[in-house]
Amino acid sequence: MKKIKDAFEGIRAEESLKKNTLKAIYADNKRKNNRAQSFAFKKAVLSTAAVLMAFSLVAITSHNLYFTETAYIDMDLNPSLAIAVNRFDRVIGIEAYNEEGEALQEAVGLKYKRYDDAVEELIEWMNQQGYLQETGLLSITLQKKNPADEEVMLEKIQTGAEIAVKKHHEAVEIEIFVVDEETREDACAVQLSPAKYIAIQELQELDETVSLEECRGHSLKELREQVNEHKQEHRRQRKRKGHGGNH
Amino acid sequence: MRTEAETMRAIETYADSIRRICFIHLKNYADTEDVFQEVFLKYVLYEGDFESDAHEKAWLIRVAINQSKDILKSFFRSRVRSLDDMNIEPFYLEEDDRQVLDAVLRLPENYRDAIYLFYYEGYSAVEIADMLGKKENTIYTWMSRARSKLKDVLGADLENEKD
Repeated sequence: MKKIKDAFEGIRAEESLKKNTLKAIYADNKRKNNRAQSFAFKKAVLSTAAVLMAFSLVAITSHNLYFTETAYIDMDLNPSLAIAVNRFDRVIGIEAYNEEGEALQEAVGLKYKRYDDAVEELIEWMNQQGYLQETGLLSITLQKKNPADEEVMLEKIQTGAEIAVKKHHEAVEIEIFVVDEETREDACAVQLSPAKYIAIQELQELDETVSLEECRGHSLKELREQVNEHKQEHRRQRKRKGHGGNH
Repeated sequence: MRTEAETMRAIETYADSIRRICFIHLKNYADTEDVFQEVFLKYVLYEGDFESDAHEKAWLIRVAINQSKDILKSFFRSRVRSLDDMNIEPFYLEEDDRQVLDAVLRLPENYRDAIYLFYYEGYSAVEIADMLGKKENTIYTWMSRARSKLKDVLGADLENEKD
């Protein structure tokens, strides 16, 4: 059908796409000793080739092994995004939860990097863009399909995050915890990071009038503050009832 | 491992076809970049030899389709989208072309592949079946249903097209 042929004729590969693809595949991949920020495609071809070629001797599903997600690291500062990690501790996917996350996703090249390096680079970028404030709260959750080595992964994420954050802001609060698969799936279903989803659920338990949509635009820190305010109010009310009952 | 020169040639020769495959399947430009890099990385690392340019192109298209489907099957949920939802639109499209592409994008995934490979790339149903790992009759069924849906939306007469 000529109409279909003509319509598709207008779809062409962008020159930047072709150029970036070639660059990404053959980029030089020196790691800087001081772990300074670099958005170049570090060691992608050599390390990926080594892993892929090693597995081609083992199984016909080798490429599936490499591209299978085994863990998810969700970061919420606003930007909010998630990193998918494979069994070789490499980033194989990134998904943004909000517009700021999308900007970050497009700006920072994280594919095939080690997850702890990726976390550091993300935090560096967030700081450069002004998202990392002195009174901010950075929340990171980990969901691992196989709980083995979970503690090791948590420790590496924590170390990487603390190094990156404390370089710029001593007082930024960092929290890192594990979530289960069901919680993460529920959070993803409504396009929220697990930390934010849990905070909204907690707020809704305290205040039934609060809706998910009205909470979506709030930062995690704001939600936690609202939760604390409600808890304090509940405590005050219980206290008042207690005094009233003593008459 | 293929050389940079070989890869550059492959990118220059087949990038548009791979781009169109990405366009059919993916939700955003970031995924397109991912699939592009993975397709050509696989090309670089592929140890076999291609019998001809046609064989090479068919191989790349098959990898691109599989890679696009894999990225959508991953845990990250995809959103419903139309042509207007793409977050980057570098193409200048006439209104008629936009309507056609929008109609194609609203087809089920498999039908989109069949329509694109048949009407744009010029593959036969037999060749498409081989490329997608399906039976020939399946491709005929997809084509028939796709044409019917497109005819409803576009009002186009597709009766005289080859099979």
